[in-house]
Amino acid sequence: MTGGARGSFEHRPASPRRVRNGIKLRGGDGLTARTWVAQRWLAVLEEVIGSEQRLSGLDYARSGQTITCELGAGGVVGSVQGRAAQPYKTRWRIPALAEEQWQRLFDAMAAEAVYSARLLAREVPEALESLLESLRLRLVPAASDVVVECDCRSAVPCKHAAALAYLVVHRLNTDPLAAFELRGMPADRVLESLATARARRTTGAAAAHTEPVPPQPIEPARPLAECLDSFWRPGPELAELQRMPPAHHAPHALLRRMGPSPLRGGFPLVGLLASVYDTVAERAVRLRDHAERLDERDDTP
Amino acid sequence: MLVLHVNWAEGGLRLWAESLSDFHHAQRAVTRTVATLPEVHPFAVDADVLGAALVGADLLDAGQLGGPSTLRLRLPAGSVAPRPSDRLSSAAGEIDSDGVVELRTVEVPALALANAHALAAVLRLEDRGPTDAIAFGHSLPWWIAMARFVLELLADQRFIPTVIQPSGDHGALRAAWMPWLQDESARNRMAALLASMPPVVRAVEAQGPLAEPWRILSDAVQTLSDATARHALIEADFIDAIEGRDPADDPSVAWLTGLLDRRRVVPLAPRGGDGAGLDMLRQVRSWLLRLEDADLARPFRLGFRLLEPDEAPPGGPPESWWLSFHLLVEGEPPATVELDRVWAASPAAQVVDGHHIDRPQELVLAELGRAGRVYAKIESALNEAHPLGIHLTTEEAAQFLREDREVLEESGFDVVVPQWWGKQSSRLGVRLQVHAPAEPGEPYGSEPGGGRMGLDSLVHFRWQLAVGDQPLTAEDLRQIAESTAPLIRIADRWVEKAGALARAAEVVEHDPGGEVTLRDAIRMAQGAQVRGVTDTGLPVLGLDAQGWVGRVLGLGASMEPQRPDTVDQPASFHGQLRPYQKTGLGWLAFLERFGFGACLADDMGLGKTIQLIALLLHEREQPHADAAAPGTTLLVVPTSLIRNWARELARFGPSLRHHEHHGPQRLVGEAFDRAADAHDVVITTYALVARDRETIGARRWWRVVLDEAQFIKNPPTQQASAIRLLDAQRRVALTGTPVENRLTELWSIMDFCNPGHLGPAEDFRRRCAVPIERHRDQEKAESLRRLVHPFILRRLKTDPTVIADLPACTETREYATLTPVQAALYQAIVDDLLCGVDDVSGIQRRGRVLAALTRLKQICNHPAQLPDTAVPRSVEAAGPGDDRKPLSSRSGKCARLMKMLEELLAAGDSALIFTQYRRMGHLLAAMIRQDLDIEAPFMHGGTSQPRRQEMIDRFQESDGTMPIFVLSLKTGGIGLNLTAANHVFHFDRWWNPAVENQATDRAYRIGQTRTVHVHKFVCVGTLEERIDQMIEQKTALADNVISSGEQWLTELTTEKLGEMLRLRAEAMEVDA
Repeated sequence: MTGGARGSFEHRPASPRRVRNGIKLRGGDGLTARTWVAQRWLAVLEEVIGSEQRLSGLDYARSGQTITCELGAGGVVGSVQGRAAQPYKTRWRIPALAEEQWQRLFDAMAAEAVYSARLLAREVPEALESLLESLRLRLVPAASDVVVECDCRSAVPCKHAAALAYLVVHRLNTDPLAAFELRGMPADRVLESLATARARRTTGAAAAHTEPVPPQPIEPARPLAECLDSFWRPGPELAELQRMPPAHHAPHALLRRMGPSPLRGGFPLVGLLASVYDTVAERAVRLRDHAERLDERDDTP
Repeated sequence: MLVLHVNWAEGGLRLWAESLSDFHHAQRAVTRTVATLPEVHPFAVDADVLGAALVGADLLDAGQLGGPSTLRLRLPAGSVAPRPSDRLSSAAGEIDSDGVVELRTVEVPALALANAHALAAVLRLEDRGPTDAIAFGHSLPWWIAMARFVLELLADQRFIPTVIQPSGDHGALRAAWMPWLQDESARNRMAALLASMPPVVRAVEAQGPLAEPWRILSDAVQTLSDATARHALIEADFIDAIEGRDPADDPSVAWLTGLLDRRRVVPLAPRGGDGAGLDMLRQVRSWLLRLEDADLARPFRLGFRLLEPDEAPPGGPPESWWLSFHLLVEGEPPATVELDRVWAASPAAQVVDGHHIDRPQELVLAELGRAGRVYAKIESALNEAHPLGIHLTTEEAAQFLREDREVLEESGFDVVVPQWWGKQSSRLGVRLQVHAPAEPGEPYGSEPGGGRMGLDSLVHFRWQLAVGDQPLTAEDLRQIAESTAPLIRIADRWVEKAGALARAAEVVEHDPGGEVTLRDAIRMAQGAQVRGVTDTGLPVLGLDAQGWVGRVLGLGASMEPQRPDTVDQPASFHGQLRPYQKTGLGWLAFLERFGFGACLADDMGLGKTIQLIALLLHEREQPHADAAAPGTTLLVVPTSLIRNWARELARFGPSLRHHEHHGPQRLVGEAFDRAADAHDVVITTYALVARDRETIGARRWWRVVLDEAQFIKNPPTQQASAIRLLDAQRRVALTGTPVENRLTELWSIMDFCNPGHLGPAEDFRRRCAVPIERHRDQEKAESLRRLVHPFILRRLKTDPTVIADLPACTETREYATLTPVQAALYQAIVDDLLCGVDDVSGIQRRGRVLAALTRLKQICNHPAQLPDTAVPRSVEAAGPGDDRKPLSSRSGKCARLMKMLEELLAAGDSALIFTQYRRMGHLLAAMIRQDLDIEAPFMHGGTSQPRRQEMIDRFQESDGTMPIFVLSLKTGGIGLNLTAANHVFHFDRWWNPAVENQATDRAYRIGQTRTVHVHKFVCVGTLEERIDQMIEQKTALADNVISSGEQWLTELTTEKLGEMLRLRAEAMEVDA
């Protein structure tokens, strides 16, 4: 048989062709949902695909017929080896959430520390479901929102799609953050966006830099009313500060550590920043040593 | 007078000020009307008044000032008015009251500083300093430190560009310059600023997090960094660089627009909408995140080691250096895994060389990629399958050592460079070799050393080209001259080439040395130009001195030098010198022998006086020709110490004849000369040296000694110059303050001891004081230390050698005199009593005597302690009138106490002060605030129990931040544990040693780790001294005194009483 597209004269074996190193679902995995996102997804699967196709799909998934399975913007895409010579391209089309919807979601999540804490532990807390509901959002789509496509051209949602879906159940069981990927947001961006939203919440704004943190341990400041004895005076640490020798770093040290700019566009950003550093530093040195110049001027009769 | 304050409000610095005259006015107003706390601060000045005052005093330029505004501040307030700030309170001479103070909100008119000019303005305030018209609130130094910190960050290029999305305004990005505060040095400074933030800085009324100290500090630091950087860029027209480019096409241009423009907005393409904003936010974030890659908590780090060419593996270009890579596994100690081991392992390996490293190859490749971003040379290694390192040319190696190394280290990589790098031993320069022709003449001769002594001695010098301490040969020089590389190998070490070498070689060859004074030689070693000596143009690496010069200059070489020529205790010394005091004596004698002046700067309580007296006795016991017999020593002391010296001389060196030169009857002209010739010591005061210049300055003195030598730092110029002009063969300065850390003092004292040693004052200030104090130049500080160390001996009570010699508790009498007003009051009360006391008898008589005794003790303490009704009419006119003088100057005891406190504070000690009188306690606290600028709590019978505990806890746990504690003898004399103190002052006397000892035991008890110094104050020539002597000598009457307090005095006959109370001549302050 020569390569190329499947021909109409193709021989179809009774059982699907074996796949080397296919993705295998083990044991009872995929049938039971261990996280709430997996549970919602399983419900979608059961609603969209008929029981016969589901059973065959489960067999496919267990015997490793799936060659690829990727979650990403636009839903789940994979290739599943059936009886035909070439694997089928199968897809669950799921609408991604709009930037504005994400923004609303993260702003809401930023209000409570639990979301950050649990997401950092790679868990999706159940409380999120009611929060989503209050925002009229869904992380796992409703069955009516998804469209199943497969080039096996089956009239009803097919076993190939089912095989993919069972792998997704497994994925959601082991890494529930993958639910965000179903909606087009990579897991690492979830944490980052939430951190941004939290920063916006605490400082009133979001910023590209990490806010400097107070030194450890953070002791709450003594209430002002208890400081009346020494109200006007600096503490003794000021003398320590004045004894600290000034730091000296290599020129452009920070800029060099940052390396090339990731921004698109042809403007030589790094080059300009280098001269910014020189100009600002020179100006600061002049200001700092201003005193000396004044003194010298005063010295001349 | 105004007192200036600064606050941070509404994103900018705000200046405001209290007014002394408005304060007085407000106080008078309050007594007239029943008032409640006003909403507007009653003695804060209007913004325009403040602005005019600041500009008028040349403290600020009009251009630096912004508009007026109003602050709502939470300030300490009594029931009817805000309390004055500490500064205003001491300017007003306020004495503490025990009124209730709580926090109240008042409106204060303020003046804004434009952010772009704020740092310059704050530093200008620092330069100009407070004036008579405008004093600085105590928080000013904190703001100045904050401003310096921000400028240092900018000067060191520690800031980054960033974008911020303000809340509630999605899409409208702002660009900003942020200080980079993530490295250790910046974090430590922020921590110190935070911890030392004066509470008043937090006084601006604000809600929630905005009132947090951290928020105030980081807001100010961030805002002022951005404003200052932006201002510099706007002035330099940076915006022109993106002129004509469309920000919609290029996010870099959009970002720069926000960074360089006065408006901060980042103009993003409209079609991008919110998404474009988030996108930029994300990209900039990922860029800035690279700065945080240096996560030092990781268990493995990639490391680099620079190897010299002869250690480099073969295969590279000739003479090339080798930068090898390794993995550093954190642990105790960290382990190194060589990369060949990593490449030899399988890609999926989990263990290399016994260390658990998951997928080591991937780890190394990822880290090499990261390092390549920072140091591009490394990328070339990635062309190989299994890179182990890269070859560097000598130029590249030099560049690596100077710059790349640091950037890699900062990025979290481990970098190992050759040991010699950055060491003094691999620096190229010149050394100065000095030797003195001959040992100076015999000690204690009249003109030892043939007339040129000390710094005036002539010495031979030679320049020597050297690397570190190793001289260079002609061959080395030729090699250096031929090489063009930045690093040259000379005599087994690599040296960074200096530009001026060729010229220096020429100078050294043609003009290698000559003869100069030792003073000039020392200055040359410091890199100073000396007339007649050609400059080599290379850094001076050190001074090698031979012969006696070497011995003298080597004195301070090590921390615990072998003090030369140990001297036995003089036989005529009455008492016992402790071992460290003998060392001090030997040191003084040694330096004098070679004609050098000396500064004995031992801690208070270690016996500087005794060592000086021992020196005078010592020199008189040495064998000498008659013509070379020791002459007269002029002893210059503060007025309040004349009596003290006279008493100490009589006690420890009774064979020394001393003459006191002071008072209206003092001698002049020939009579003075005859008196001086006939005595071993002439004691006089700083003021009289200036006033009697013709008499005192006309002689050549055998020796001049300055006690409390820090006095010459800032005396009226007349005094300073008169003292400098004194002609003396030997010079000794005594001081208890840490002179080495106070550069103006140091210069003055050194210039007295060894004239010209540190060069002209102005020169010294520019070359030494400014770099050390302003820029904390460690190298300069170290070289200055070496320079003065031979001539300063300062031992601390905590020095191990001294501690062993010190008893656990020492007790001294501190003799004070009375001011003329005090004396007049004292006399008037004695006269009053003696006149009328015989008119009454029995209880009435006793009552009158007791009342008079109390008054006399109060007068000895301070005239202001006397109730107004008790001031005898005869002295009312001269009475406690002069309010403008500092409180402490109106009492001899107080003046003395303040001087002693100043000294012990400088040494980091702390003290308890006991008094019997509540009013005196308040006065003491007020004086301490006024003179020493610190707050001392006062515990007395009216202090509530919780407040007492709070005071005690704060004193015990303050670590020196609350070093002085005033207590009433009755309240504080028993039970308390105050071991944080190592000085105890008995300011007035109870006459019962048991009671006093009990008070002393507050500090001298279990838990005390230091020697406790007890100081008992006595007014000379008054009843205080007489009673003290009686107790001291255990006279028959002493028991009476002790058992009955002052009761027994009431039983004395009028005649005896008069004898007891009479004011003797020596009570009077001299030369008033």
